[in-house]
Amino acid sequence: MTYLETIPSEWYLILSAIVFCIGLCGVLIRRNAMSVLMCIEMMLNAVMLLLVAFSGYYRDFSAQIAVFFIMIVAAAEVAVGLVIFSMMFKKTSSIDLDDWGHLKG
Amino acid sequence: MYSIIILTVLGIIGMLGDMLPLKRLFLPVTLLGFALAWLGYFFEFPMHTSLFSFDLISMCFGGVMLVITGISVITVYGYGSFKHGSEPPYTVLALMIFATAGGLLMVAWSHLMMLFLAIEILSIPLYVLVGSQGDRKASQEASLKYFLLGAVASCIFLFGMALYYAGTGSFLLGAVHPHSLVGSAGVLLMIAGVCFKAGVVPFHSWVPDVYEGAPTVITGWMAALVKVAAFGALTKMVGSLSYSVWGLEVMGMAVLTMTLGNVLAVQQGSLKRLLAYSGIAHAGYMLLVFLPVTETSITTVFFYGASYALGTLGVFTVIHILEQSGLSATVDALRGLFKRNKTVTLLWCLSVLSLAGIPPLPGFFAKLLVLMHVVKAHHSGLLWVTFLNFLVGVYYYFRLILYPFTGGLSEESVVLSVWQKVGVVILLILTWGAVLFPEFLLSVF
Repeated sequence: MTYLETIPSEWYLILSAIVFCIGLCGVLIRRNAMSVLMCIEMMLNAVMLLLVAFSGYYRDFSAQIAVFFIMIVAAAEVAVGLVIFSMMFKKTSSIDLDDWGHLKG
Repeated sequence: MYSIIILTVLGIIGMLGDMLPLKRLFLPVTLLGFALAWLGYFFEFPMHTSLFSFDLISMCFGGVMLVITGISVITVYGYGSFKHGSEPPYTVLALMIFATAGGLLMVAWSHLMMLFLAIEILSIPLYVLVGSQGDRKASQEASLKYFLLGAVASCIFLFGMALYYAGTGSFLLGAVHPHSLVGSAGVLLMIAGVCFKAGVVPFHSWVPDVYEGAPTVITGWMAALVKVAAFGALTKMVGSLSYSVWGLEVMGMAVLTMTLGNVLAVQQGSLKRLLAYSGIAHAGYMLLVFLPVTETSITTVFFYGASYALGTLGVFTVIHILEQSGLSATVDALRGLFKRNKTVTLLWCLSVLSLAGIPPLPGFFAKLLVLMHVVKAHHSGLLWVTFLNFLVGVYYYFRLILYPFTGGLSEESVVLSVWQKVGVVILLILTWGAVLFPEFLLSVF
C-alpha cells in the first residue's frame, strides 16, 4: 500500500471535479481575456490531477504519459491564444472580452 | 501512418516556402503529395496498433478530406496573399496541410489520447487561419471566439476522457464497457467535445460568427473538412459504445440541431451566416444516422459527409468569387449572377440544389439514406420532424436559387483567375461524377 492509496479514490474525483467547475465558472464569469485563459489552464490541471491519481490506483503508466501530452498541447494552445490576444490589444488597447461582440445574428 | 508523415513533411515545406528555390514547383509537389498520402493507405491497409487503426473508415474519410484540401489549396494558391500581394500565402497553405493531417488522424485513432491530439492538431491551425485576415476586425473577433470556445471544448473532452479512464482504467473504447456512473459521464462529455467541432446544438454558438469572420476561402474549406473529420471521429466512437449510455442525449441533440439550424437560417440576410446555420442543420441530419448504429450507418454518414463537403465547397467558392468582384456576401449580391458569369451560376445552382436535396444531385441521395435510416429505426415522431426540416431547408435554399436569375445590382461580367477556373471546373466535374456514379461512393463499405 503506497501513500497514494491512503486517500480514497473518490476524493481525487471530487477534488478534480470541483477544480474543473471553478475553472468553468471562471470562463463564464471573467471578462478579462487573460483571466479566461488562466481558468482554462485550471480546467486542464483538474484533468491532469485526475489522470495522475487514477494512474496510481490502476498501476498503469499510460495516464502519466497522457499528462505530458496534455501539457505540450496546452503550451501550444497558450502560444496561439497569446498571439490572438496581442492582435486584439493592438486593435482596441484592451483585452476586455466585452469590447469584442460585434458579430451577431 | 505514411499519409500523416507525408502531410507533415509537406506542411514543413510550406512553412519554409518563402525561402525555398523553385517556388513554381510548390503546387505540383503538394498535390502529388496528397495523391501519395492517399496511396499510402493501401501500403499499410489495414494497420491496427494500440494507438492507431488505419482501416476502411480512415481510408475513405481521409480520401474525402484530402480531396477537400486539394481543391482548396488550388483556389487559395491562386488567390495570392491575403493582403493583396502577389506571392501565394505559403504559411496559410502550410497551416491548411497541418490541419488536414489532424483531420486524417481524427479518423485513424484507436487510443483516446490520439483522438485528443488529432482534435488539437486540427484546431490550433484553424484558430490561426480564421484570424489570418489581420486587417479585418471581424476576422480577429471570430478567431478569438473560436479559440476561447474551442479551448473550453477540448477541456471538456479531456475531462470526459479522464472520467472514462477513472471509470474503466483504459483509454481504449469498446475494450471495457462503462457500467459505472463515472464512465458513462465520461462518454457523454467526450461526445460533447466532438459535437462542438461538428457544430451541434447546444455547442453551435461559434459556428455563425466564425463562418462570417473567417476569410471566405478558409470558411468553405474548414466547413467541409471539420464536419467530415468530426463525423468520422463520431462514427468511430459511437460504434464501440453501448447505445443506452448516449442514445437519448444524441437524439435530443439531433432534433434540436436540425430544427434550430433551419429556423435561424430562414431569416438570414448574410450568405455566410445563412450557410452556417444550414450547416448546423446538416449536422443534425447526420446525427440521426447514429440512432441506432446499424451496418448502413457508416455508408450513410460517409455519403452525406462527402455530398455536404462538395456542396459547401462549391457554394463558398462562388461566394468568394462574388466578394472578389467587389460585392459583400449578402443574399442580394447574388442578383444578376446569371448575366455576369454562366459557369459560376451553374456551379452555384448545382451546389445549392445538392445541399437542398433535389434529385438527381448527391445531396438528395444522402437525405434519402438518412430518411430510410429513420424509417428503419421506427421513430415516427422523429421521421416527421426530419421531413418538416427538409421542407424548411428547401424553402430557404430556393431563395438562393432564384436570386441569380433576377435583375442585378451590377452588370459587369465576373472574371476568374486561372486557378479559380481550375477549382470551379474540378468541382463541376466532381458534382457530375457524383450524379452519374453515386454507387462509387455508396458501395465502399
